[in-house]
Amino acid sequence: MKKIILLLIITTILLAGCSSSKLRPVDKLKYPPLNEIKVPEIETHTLSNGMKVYFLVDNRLPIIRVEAEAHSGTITDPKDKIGLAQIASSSITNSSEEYPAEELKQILNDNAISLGSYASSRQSTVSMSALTEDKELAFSIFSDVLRNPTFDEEEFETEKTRTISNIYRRNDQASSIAFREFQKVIFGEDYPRNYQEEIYTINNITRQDVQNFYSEYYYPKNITLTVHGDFDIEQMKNELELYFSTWYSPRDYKNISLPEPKIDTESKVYVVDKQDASQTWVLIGHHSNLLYKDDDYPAMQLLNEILGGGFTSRVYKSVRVQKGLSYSPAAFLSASFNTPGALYLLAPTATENTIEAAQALVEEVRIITQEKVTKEELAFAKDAYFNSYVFKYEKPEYTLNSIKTYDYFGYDRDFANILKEKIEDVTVDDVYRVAQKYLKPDELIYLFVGNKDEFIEDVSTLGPVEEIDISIKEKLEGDVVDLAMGKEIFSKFLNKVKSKTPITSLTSKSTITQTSPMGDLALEKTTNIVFPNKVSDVIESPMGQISTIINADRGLQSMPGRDIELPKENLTAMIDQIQFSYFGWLNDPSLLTIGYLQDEIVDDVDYQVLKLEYKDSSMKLWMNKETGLPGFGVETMDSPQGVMKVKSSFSNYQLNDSVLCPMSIDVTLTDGTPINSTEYESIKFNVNLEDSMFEF
Amino acid sequence: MKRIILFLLVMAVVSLSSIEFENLSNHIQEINLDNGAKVLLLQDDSAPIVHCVTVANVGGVDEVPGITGISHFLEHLAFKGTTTIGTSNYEEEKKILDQEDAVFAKLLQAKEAGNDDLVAQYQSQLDTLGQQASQYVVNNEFSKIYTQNGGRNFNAGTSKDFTMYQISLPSNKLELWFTMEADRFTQPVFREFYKERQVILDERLMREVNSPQGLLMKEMMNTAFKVHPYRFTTIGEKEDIENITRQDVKDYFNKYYGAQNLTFVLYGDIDVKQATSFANKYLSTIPARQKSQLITDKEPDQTEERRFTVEYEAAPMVMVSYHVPASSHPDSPAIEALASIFGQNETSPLLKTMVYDKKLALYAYAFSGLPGSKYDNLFSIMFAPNNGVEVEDCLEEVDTILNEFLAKSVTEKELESYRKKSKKNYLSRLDTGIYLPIQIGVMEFTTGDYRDFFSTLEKIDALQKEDVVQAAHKYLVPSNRTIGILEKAGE
Repeated sequence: MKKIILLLIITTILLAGCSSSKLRPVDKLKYPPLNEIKVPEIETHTLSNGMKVYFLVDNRLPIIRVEAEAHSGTITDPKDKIGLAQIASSSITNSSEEYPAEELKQILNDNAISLGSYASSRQSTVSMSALTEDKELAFSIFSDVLRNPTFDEEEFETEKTRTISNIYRRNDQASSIAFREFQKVIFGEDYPRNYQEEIYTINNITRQDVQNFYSEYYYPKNITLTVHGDFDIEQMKNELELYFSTWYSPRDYKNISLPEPKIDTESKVYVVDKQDASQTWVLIGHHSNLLYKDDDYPAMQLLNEILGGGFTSRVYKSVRVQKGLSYSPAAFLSASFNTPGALYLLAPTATENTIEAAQALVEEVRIITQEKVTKEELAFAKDAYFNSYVFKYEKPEYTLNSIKTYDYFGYDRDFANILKEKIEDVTVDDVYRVAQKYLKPDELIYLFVGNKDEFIEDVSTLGPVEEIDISIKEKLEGDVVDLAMGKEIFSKFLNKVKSKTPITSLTSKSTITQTSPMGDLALEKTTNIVFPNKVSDVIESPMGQISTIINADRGLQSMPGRDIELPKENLTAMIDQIQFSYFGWLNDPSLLTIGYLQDEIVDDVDYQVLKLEYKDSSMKLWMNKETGLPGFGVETMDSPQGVMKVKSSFSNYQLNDSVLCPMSIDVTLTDGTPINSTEYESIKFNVNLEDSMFEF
Repeated sequence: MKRIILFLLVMAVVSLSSIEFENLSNHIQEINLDNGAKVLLLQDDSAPIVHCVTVANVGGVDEVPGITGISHFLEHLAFKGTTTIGTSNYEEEKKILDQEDAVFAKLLQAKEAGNDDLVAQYQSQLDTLGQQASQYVVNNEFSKIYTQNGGRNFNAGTSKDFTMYQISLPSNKLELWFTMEADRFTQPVFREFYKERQVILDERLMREVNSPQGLLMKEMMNTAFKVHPYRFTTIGEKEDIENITRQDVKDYFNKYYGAQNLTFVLYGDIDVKQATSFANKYLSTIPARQKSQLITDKEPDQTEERRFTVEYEAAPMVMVSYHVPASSHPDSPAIEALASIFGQNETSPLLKTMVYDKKLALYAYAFSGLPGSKYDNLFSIMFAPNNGVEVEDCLEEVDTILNEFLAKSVTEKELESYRKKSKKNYLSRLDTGIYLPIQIGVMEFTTGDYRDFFSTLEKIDALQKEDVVQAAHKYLVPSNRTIGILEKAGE
């Protein structure tokens, strides 16, 4: 089969030269010069409050459009609240101080005013369009939602419900699975641009989060305004001052940036099983790093045109026309203004043609890295580029958008023309050079979405196959599910165990039984703590007294015969450990992030499992459902023996100084291996501890 | 050398002046060629670009069982070139194409007879001939010429009602379009026929078989229509696509692509006088054939509610469709208004209850014009239940909303809002580049008069609220509807 394919390609290349010899009717045509391109004037202006504005007057239609872009976007989402930018952006336009939700909808409807909002990766946008005759009303609504949104509760819940419904639908079509998962295998799941909303991240979002998002990103200096349509610039400037001049910025423009993605250069094969599909979505590619302003970009632009640019490209010719393998094959290496891109080869194909389509795509990449493109191909690509250049000016708003984008990314406003000149100079050798530099046919990542059973054998010839699980999870195993519920459960516990006064210090006497290879060792221990960072404890050991004093940034351990200065890094860890203990929780629970995971029955006891996080530490805590008190907790800890899962069991709860305390704490590994256990004799809270106790 | 001309691109910074978008209809020039073709010219010099659209008065609705999908198949083949474009030697190429067709005829016979060995043998012969023919094929030359000359938006589309071809060009290349389009509809060659069939089968997989929405629509047409050809989808039945011959396509072309069935719409920076002369010179060469007749198959009145379920591995989706008359019918403006007032806005009863107040659905909306609007079609309510909400509960709620809506009258305020929205929509549709000439051209064959596009607002202004209420009572009755549900197996 392969031989025939190769033969076809050679024939085509040979024939490409022949076609120009015959005279077609179109060859006789002579074209007049192109009429003047009218470049619309874009005016930029800064309002007295620092808000930047772009104006484009276009009075062909009695319509006005305005857009406010806040520098923010989905890449700013916290990991446990992915979806926040989206939901917050939508919520902004739901209601405002002057326009309650229901009323707002009605006014918009009655006056044919469109008010919309959305978040893209780098922007949160609120936009509005109206007939010029309704300009005043429209601007009054627009400015009020921008300045005084009230985030209607009911509408906020609707946004969440709908977002969750959409999550349940995200695997319904193979094409959307393919594009989504491809981004993840190329740039990594943790790359903020690939953040994926999950049911539990949406559930975590509160109305307060939405309000915080708004305060964080919506202020004049962080917003770019665009006004486009039928208006007078000078008059508009005055009107905008009226609407916005009393709106102030708490800080300057907010720079948001993406971290570098984690890149794997090894070739890999991924499969997503979609049993009901009779078609496979083939996506192949690899990461690349090319910006529009790079010197290599002009040659790459022409390479893209030759390789996969539309109906006349090599890939289209090979995969669709000659081999009939796919209705819509494509290939290109994406560049961007300031973030990494990727090579994309794609073709939806009948299941039985899966591997053939993949091979046909890759073959074209291989050829273009091995043989120079012809002069004719390059000349053709340049003609296509230059002749279609006028389409950059098809609509006045295209100029507006490119100037805004150039400004945003710090490009020259004349960038399109600069690029055009560089494209003129690209040679066949340049295209060959960038092909070899950027296209890596041996480092490809393959993704196949379709009925796995029908092609798995074929695609495993490309390398070991990894299957991606795309099932929709209502909660993530071992991760926080519900912050609100977590907080509620924990608050109940706090109310139960302590009096209203906050715990600031404690002093305790206990017996600690240490398990060691030589047998158990029972030690008397006295501990004094003043939160957050003063500790003084004394252990009576067979070798004598061991005392430890920690006071803020210094720690000293004294034992008979020697003093050891505690290293700074251990000091912080020890202070954190005290804060992240039963009594530390009681001291300041607001330091913890608490989430509810799930209900669980262990040894016939009903528990609600929480996840507690403090700085880098996290612990799963099983709260006894009946008593509302901690039963046991499991922490993953690093130790010289490697990672260990440590379990602390709390029992024998008693009132001490009007605080409910577990008088026994048993520490074991999760496999049952004992480590130590503590039996408290007495615990006193908020006693006056002398400062001298913590002096060295 | 062409590149140098382009460097002389004259650019000027200007303020945009009014081109009287609102009075567009006064500016349209209609040319009726002797062969029966209609050419519409609309001048707008805001950019040196011209948008060129050809609408053919033929679509899926003109097909009969056995050749469903042929309109779309033909549309694909119309990109394969002509006797002068796409070939290095048409005389030689034609001999092979004829041989291919002879072999395929035998293949079909063998298939009919169930002789698999013979089928395989002919298939292999066909493959060999395909390779031989490809010696003479200049791949995609038709597209190449346009691309090289700066063409954009090069595409085509087939619907139940019409077929449409489009390209945007730098306006100095206007003559190129006339030359190419005249050639395309005078002496097309349906080359690479057998490979294209495979591409179309792939397209069918993508659009219909692997798309939950596509599946639901297909089944809806099939259930709601029993007689009218709206019952088939445009892409066609798999078996038909597999069995259509090149001769079938030629016959179909000869029957439907006569000049009287073609309307050409040019919009942009054109010199009307020059364009008129090009039209006479080039488009007059397209042969006059028969003018398409309207389909006379009449769908019998539906007398009881129909219902079906499609199983597919996707979250549920529901469609409730009522028969309504064609867009040329006097009730049509009222039906459009009904769709908007009842189910297209956040304040519409359908969305207000389903999406916002009761949060039963992710989305819900109403629209008419499916699968076309040239003939009696369907007014549909479409919705997707939110996760955990039962389809039946949604259906019950839709009935409640609908009954409440029917019980009360449409208010003057609702109608006034609708008028205003329509005005804004209409004006926005004028500034859509190539979509403007497409809409105008399509109107010529759906209602029978392109001018209807410009009188949209007048008809809406003339609407009375009683018209909307009457339309609702007349058409939105249970016996006139079909309920279609797409859901996972076992639910």
